[in-house]
Amino acid sequence: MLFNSYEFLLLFLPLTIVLFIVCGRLLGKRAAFGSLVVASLVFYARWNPPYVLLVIASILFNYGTGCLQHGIIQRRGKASRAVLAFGVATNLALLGYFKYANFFVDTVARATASSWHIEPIVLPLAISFFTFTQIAYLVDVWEGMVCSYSFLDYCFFVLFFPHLIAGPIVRHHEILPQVQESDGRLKFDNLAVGLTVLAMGLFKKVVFADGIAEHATYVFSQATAGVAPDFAAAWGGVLAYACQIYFDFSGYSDMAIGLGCIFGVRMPLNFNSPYKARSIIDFWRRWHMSLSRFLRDYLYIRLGGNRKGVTRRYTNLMVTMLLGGLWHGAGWTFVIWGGLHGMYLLVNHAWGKLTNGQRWAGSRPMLVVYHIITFIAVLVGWVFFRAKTFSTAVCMLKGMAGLNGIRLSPGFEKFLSHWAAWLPVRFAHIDFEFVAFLWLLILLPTIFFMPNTQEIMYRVRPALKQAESMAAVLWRPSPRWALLTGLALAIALLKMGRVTEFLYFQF
Amino acid sequence: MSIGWSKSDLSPRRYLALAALTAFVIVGIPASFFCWAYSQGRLVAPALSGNVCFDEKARFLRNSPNKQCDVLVIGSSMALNNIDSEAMLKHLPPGTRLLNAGAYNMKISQTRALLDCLLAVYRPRNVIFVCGLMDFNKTPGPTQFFDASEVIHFINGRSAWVPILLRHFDLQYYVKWSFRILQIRSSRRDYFSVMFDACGSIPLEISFPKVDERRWNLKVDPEQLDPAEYEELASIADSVRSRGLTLICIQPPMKRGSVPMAVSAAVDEHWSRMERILATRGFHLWNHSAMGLSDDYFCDYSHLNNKGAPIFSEIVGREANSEGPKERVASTQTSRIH
Repeated sequence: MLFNSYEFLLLFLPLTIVLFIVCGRLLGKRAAFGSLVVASLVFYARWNPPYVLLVIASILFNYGTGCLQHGIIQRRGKASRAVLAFGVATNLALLGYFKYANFFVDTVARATASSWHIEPIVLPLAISFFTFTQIAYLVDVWEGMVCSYSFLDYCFFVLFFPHLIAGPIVRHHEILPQVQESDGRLKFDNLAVGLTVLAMGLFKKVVFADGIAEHATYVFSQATAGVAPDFAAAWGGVLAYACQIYFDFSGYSDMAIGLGCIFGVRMPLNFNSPYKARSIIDFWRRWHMSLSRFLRDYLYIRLGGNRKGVTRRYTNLMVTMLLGGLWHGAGWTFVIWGGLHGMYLLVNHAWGKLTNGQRWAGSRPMLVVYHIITFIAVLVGWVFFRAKTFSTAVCMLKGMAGLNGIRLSPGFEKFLSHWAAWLPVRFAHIDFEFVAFLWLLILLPTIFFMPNTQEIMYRVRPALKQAESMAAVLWRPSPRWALLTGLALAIALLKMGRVTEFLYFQF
Repeated sequence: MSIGWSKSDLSPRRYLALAALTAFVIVGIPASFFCWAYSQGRLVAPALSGNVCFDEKARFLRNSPNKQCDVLVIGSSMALNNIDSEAMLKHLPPGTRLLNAGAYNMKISQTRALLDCLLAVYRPRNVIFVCGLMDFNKTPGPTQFFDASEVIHFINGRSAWVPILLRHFDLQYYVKWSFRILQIRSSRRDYFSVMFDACGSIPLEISFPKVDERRWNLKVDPEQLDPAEYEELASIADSVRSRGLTLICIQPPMKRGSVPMAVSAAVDEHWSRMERILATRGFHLWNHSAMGLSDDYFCDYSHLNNKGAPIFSEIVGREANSEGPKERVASTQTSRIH
């Protein structure tokens, strides 16, 4: 079930809210959160019912392993380490089988020119997310950072539907203390704030992301079919995709936070205007924040982090980013994307060291230069992220470099007729619709100059650990904001005819 | 979790009520209007595929009480416009139930996907696939598709129309089609007509000289043929064969001069390839491309009009009624001229 479907918004969500209220009032807090666990299972089962058993088995296994670590074995002893290794390995094996078996077999078959083949394996929805959530839990138990939780609490922590499908990757100490402090009653102020954030997220996804998506898809599918995009079309296509993935993921993250807020649970912030970043390091502190945090805490630091010399540090960074890329999808283009970001990070760290203490490096003009370079680097990364094959990505990059020719709309010919012979341009139809350029004119300034949802909602802090907000526009419970919320919701509902998946659902 | 809601603010209940009221006024009133318009038949069919003709055909099938047929005609506009149901039924045994499921702009891959839905619902004995050269053409951009299980439920009438309408609701789409749909539902003088007869066919009432010049002068271009579509044809034949049914694959007549001499060899190769695909599965191509009908019988370079369609349909009816194929693969040079 998708957050941006009528089924979810008009049926599932209202019924879940009613169930939560009834259970909370009649049976108490445990029943209220129990009802959310049941609703989450229904939510997951709507995609493919038999796979609910897989999620349940995974929960039972990890909860059992956690209990074993907790009660029986001496903390951080050899036996405890063995249980942890077994638990993590089992989770990774499950993820590896479902997500990477086909990729692995195809790669080996291609490399050895053999006919080795296995039937396509259906990737269970959200497996990457619930596996990472639980690996983090097992490691935290091993480190003694977890007090004992009931099975119901654990189920709620893993299954709670706002984060189940596409994150954020939550940590037990963020969610479960809130459950324990809650009285299990629905509060109207939470509902009002939650719905406001939900409406903002839905609007971003349905109006902005889906609105620009077809233009990005067109350029990339043309490139896949062998039609080389010219300069304007290539840049237009990549910028369109950059806007699509931005509003898609931002919209999803807002909706997750809004849904959590409705039930009185603050979710961790997962998205914080990443295109405003002035370095790649900063970008990864703002994009998919919970994944970055997971990779930092459970991979980069475990590999030695920056504690074992410069070479080792850069190697660790590269390995982390390559695996982060592979996590996004079983394909070489994702690995290249990860590797590219790994390289960006190395350059970024090296530059930081080189310019450390130099005043000009922090001057205002340099900050603008950093901002532009970072954004262009991210765009180049998106080309590999979006392209289905390496050759498509190269074709797009050639187009962006002007190697496929530069075309200008015939409308410009009369203005530039005197210089036409001197300009390296052709006057011909551009493979990127005018309406798509209009979209970019609206979306790019929105991304760069408007405050994000969390900044607007700063007064009520719907997410965990929000930074200070200097936003000129702040939400307040006024009639004007109520009207705007209703309007955003209505426009999104009217535009929701074609249900489109969130891009991060496939990961 | 507690929120910093001060007493001077609008109360949460009022805030929610105002937001909900705004959304209801903007969504609820138009939604009620659209539901009413749909129930009155004034709204274009829900966009199951985005191809208006396909969607209208699905609506037509849903509204038809009979959910069984003996002879099923499939294909693109080749099937939709070249078949005259009444003329064809004359040559089929009395009581034969005919259904023309053709819709314009259907690629062969889409026809294959639709066929699986239709076979599940209608259980015919014979399948007639009317397919022209252009059905094999490449199309720019991704092919529009549909959810097969949704189409089956929709045709069967098992799904209520309000959820379908909601699921595929697109204001722009409905507004865009609001007037045009009434026009093409009530006239066969439009190439995009969706005025189906009782069996789902639309013989167009368009004759020379009142034709679309561009369509009239189009020529076949074998360079546009998409190799993947041949695999889809094989898939259709396999699907029919696996159910023990008969497949009759027909190339309809083409206007004289629509196949330039320069490409006739390539066109012959196309038909030979089709014949090979069908022959390995125990079926044949019935090629009527060079039937020799004059231009009066066409409404464009490859579609018959309401004068030509009955003549062709009578032949199809006779052939469907007979056991074996009368004519194997023909070429642009060797076809029998009537």
